[in-house]
Amino acid sequence: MTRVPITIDNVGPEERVVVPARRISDDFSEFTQARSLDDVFALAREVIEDPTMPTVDAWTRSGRHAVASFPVYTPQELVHSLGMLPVTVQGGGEGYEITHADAPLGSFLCSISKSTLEMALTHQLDRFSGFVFPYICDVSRNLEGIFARTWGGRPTYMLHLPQNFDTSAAVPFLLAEYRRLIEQLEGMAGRKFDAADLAASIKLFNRQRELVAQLATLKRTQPWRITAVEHYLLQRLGTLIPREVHVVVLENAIRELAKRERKQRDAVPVLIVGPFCEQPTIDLLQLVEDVGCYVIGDELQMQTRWHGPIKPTNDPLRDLAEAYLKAGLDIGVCRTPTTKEDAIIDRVTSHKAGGVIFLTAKFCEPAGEDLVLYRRALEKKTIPSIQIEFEEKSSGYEQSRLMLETFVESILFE
Amino acid sequence: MITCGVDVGAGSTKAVLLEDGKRLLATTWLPTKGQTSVAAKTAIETLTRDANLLPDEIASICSTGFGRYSVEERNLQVSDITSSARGAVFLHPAARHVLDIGTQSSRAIAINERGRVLKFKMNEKCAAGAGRFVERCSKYLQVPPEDMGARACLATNPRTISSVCAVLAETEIINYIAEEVPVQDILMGIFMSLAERGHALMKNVGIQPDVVLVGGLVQSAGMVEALRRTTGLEVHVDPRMHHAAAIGAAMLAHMRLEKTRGGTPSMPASGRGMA
Repeated sequence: MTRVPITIDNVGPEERVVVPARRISDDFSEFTQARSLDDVFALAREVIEDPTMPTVDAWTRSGRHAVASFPVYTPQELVHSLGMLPVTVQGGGEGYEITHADAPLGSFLCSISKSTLEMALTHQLDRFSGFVFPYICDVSRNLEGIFARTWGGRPTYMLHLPQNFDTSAAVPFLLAEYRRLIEQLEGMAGRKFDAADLAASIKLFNRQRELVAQLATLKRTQPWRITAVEHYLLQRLGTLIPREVHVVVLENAIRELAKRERKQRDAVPVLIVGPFCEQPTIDLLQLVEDVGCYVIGDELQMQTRWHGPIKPTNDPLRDLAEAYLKAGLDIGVCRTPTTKEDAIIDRVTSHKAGGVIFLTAKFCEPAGEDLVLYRRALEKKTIPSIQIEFEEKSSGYEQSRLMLETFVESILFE
Repeated sequence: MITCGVDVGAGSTKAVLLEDGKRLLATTWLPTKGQTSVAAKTAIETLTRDANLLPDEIASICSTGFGRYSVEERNLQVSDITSSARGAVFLHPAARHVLDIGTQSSRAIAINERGRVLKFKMNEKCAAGAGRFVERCSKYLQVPPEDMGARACLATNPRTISSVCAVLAETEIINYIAEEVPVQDILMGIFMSLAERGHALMKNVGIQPDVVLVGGLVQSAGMVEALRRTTGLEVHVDPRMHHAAAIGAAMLAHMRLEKTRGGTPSMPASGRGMA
């Protein structure tokens, strides 16, 4: 019997990409003209949880190109400068069935590697013109290779980001890497790269980063005004829609949130650490605040938050490379000028957090390696912490609830 | 000021009355029988009647255990890890490590001198380390649960139950029965298996004496002996430890009342989670 390799071409016709149930308009006005903040949150949740990706459908219907990237960080300004929609694909979500991706991927790998491949094999990613895989871990590196073999010949790119941030070779290395990526992106866009276009894209992304930072400050200083889930939805929406639209959504939201009246609860301010790549389910995020916490800092949606606004010079490509290397947030997945142990203590202290909740994705090695160092440092300083492991197919949170409740009670009843 | 703690467990519901967070007035126990709210209501009514109190003389009711959210009479709820830790220190002030083997799950809890939880570890999604496993073994061996501990202490050659899975462990037990291994040797093997899983949890959070056992198996001499053999430690037991979680809940109800300066604590708006 001949062994048939799993590729996109071997998947049955009944599994061809479906038209999303929600049709988003070409100009994405649903997001900018929503009647209320709650409507924006509801729509954001709907498009985030829909693996048929209605926003990508809206963008590409008229022949425009969209480029996917895997977490954690891709210089999406480059994609934007070439007139394409940059989208971060973060797995298929809680309800997504894996039927094909288990064949090339082992059972001991993270959920999003499998569900992202499943999306590709079942034609959910057909609307994309290419896929960029930054080298965050061995799984993401190998996933690019699997995509190259299985995704019907569409362009894929393994983005090699420097591991050593401080060496003098880091900037030249990254510039060379970005130039190689640009060549690939030019092929997808069908047009040539222009530095002036990149400068304009950086300006737009700067505004987005500024607003995302404002939102994070609001969540840190007045956490009762916006829930952790709402904060997450607003951020993640920005990885799925045009950045121009996201800027308007954020401006509207920040204005409305400032006016929002909500009772301040007797809750424990906590940091969420660990989910910098695979994202926890929305239900789990909600549970953290339901049991009596305020999330005042987190590592969610790092694509938009890797670095802050970029100070422009006359070399936008170099600006972009230097921002990645020198202006990253002081957290484990970016760069830590101090030791990881010192970094976690500094973050707890600067945020005035009462404890740390480690939400670590099952089989995520980078998060698991950081966890050991972080917890040791926290234990030395008697800062309360707890680890909850999650995966996309989490169902039933009673055990997590019990653990989180006990954690909160150990602080509240001191 | 009288507070009530109700521990609605998977197997049984325990309730206590505490005066001023210090003096134990009354305790009660009844099987939950899958009816969590009914069991809790019955337990509270029984306590009130036994202590000759009017219902409104109970200043606050705190529920705990897996059925804590179904107690309609509650003023607040806390997790059974939090409440077991507080209750253990109430009954044994030198306790610094609590092993709670409940019907549905087991937990090792490191605590401070006030009973505050410092670190804890639970068995995950598996019945092999919990009381339900003992209940099932009772059926296979046709030994009533209350007799299992004493008979296990008669073992001369305890048999190893090596499987980490409850279902496979039961298969091993059936094989021993087929081989006509003396029941007491199988029984001690069961308790040793449970003790080894508990010991693994304990090591995970760090063992500090005094170690106390709470939960439904505190009255099982076989379980206590197995724990002593496995851990090499003195494991402190007290029959009242069966009520540790309920006592802890009543203590926390008192603490919360004191914090709110004598006012009646209200339920969290969501009905779930701490206010």
